[in-house]
Amino acid sequence: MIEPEESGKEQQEQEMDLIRRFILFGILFRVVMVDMDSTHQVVLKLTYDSIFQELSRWAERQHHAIRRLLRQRGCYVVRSQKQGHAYVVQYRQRGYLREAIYSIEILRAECQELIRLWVSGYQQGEKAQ
Amino acid sequence: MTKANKRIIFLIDMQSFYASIEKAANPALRDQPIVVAGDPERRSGVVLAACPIAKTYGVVTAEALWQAQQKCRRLVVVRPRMETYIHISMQITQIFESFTDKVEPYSIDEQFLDVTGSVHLFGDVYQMAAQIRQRVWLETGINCRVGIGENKVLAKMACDNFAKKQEAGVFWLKKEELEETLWKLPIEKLFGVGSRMKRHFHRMGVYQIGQLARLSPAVLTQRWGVNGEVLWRTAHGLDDSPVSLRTYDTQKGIGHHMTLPRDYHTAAEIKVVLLELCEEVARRARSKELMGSVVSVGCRGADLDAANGFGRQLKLEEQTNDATTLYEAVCCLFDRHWQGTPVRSVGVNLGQLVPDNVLQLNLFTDNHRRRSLAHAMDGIRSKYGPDAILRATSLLGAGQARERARKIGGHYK
Repeated sequence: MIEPEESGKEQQEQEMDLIRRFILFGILFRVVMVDMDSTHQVVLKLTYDSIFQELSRWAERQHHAIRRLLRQRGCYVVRSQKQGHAYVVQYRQRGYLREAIYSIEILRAECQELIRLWVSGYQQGEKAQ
Repeated sequence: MTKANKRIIFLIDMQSFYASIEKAANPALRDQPIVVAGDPERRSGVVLAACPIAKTYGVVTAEALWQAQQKCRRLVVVRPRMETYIHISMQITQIFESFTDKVEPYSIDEQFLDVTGSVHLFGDVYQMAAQIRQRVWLETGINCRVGIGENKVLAKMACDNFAKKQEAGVFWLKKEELEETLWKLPIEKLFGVGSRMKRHFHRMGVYQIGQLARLSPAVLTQRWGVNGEVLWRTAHGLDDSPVSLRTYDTQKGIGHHMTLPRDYHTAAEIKVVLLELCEEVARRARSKELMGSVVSVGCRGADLDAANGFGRQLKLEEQTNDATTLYEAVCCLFDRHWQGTPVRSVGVNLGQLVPDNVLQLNLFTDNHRRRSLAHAMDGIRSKYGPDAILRATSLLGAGQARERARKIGGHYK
């Protein structure tokens, strides 16, 4: 049987991870749209908007799904902003106001990983067909 | 439950700090053996950090890059980015400050935390350590290890000797259990014992920390003075120093040291670098509003063995933070003690510091004018960069000032 204190600790760790994923998907779906606009500045042979839009929609769906999950657990992001070289997020966790300080460079790398994940998921879907 | 008069100190160490940052920032490197090292393009320099995968090939920190590449053919060499590492270190300090207000950075990748007053807010000691590790991992991508003790020395030895070697990454070194834990380790594992001290102890027949602890402190004091007593106290886990940012407030000296890219053979070449070092030392002294009266010079050969070089000091007639005055004294020392052997590493240090709010007037030199000129040059350098204004000698082949302007602490920004 799991002791209540231990399960509380695990729950807290899971929530810290969920907050991180929530932030990552939130950044990703916005950045992809910004990048799509940037591609409009150059003349290309084809348009890739559908790829950007599909990726952004996927990230946004994940973002909202995680937000729902966090709300069920009593967690809300109160504020998030860039401060120098870090991205500071304040969130409320069952009444306690907590803070997470992410390195922007690491967030960028993790977003890149999410894109790789999305591409590999897409390719797997193609193989299944 | 801990006793009321006992402190709880954490020493948190980042695993392969520079390499971990590079891996976190570049997912393509995550499954590869990497080292952060001097200059990959020149294939020169030493390994500043090796990731755990590289370490399995026998690559160790501080070895020459070419040696590391011989040990591991598919080694990925990453150029250091000191500015980024400093930012991440400060970010980690910020994370620690959300656990306690008593945080003392010990080095770029090690920090002391006094959690005595806040541990009850986070469960127990182990839960708090786990939460800190989790947060550092999620927010920076770095794995850290926590040494716990009732003072800084015990926390440091807990981390270096036990926490780093365990999967859990957390170890509490308790004073009452030292006989079963710390005292069984070889003497070189004691904090403050290096390779030379180890040789001294071996000659005395002391091989284990326990043997040192059982010696009379008087024996050690007789041999090494106050340092002997400090070692005895360390072996017994005794240390009263507080965790405080003010630990490094009192500055005893200002020095700069440079490892040269090749051996310098002539006095003219070496003096170019000495002048550049004097400029740096004087500039830093002025920025801290200090001046010193003892100047020391150190030179070592290519094998970096102290026996192939010299280290001497000189008392100046009056305190100074002027580069030219400093350089004259440095040249005097250098000319007197240099044996004509090739030089690979040089250093200049200014000691016996006092505030620079007084100025000794001189009949023969206009010290006021010199000081104004130096402050004007400092202003230009702080606004436009350290290489915005250089001595003409720095443009010679021997000059290192332009290259050093691209670096922090001798490594690339």
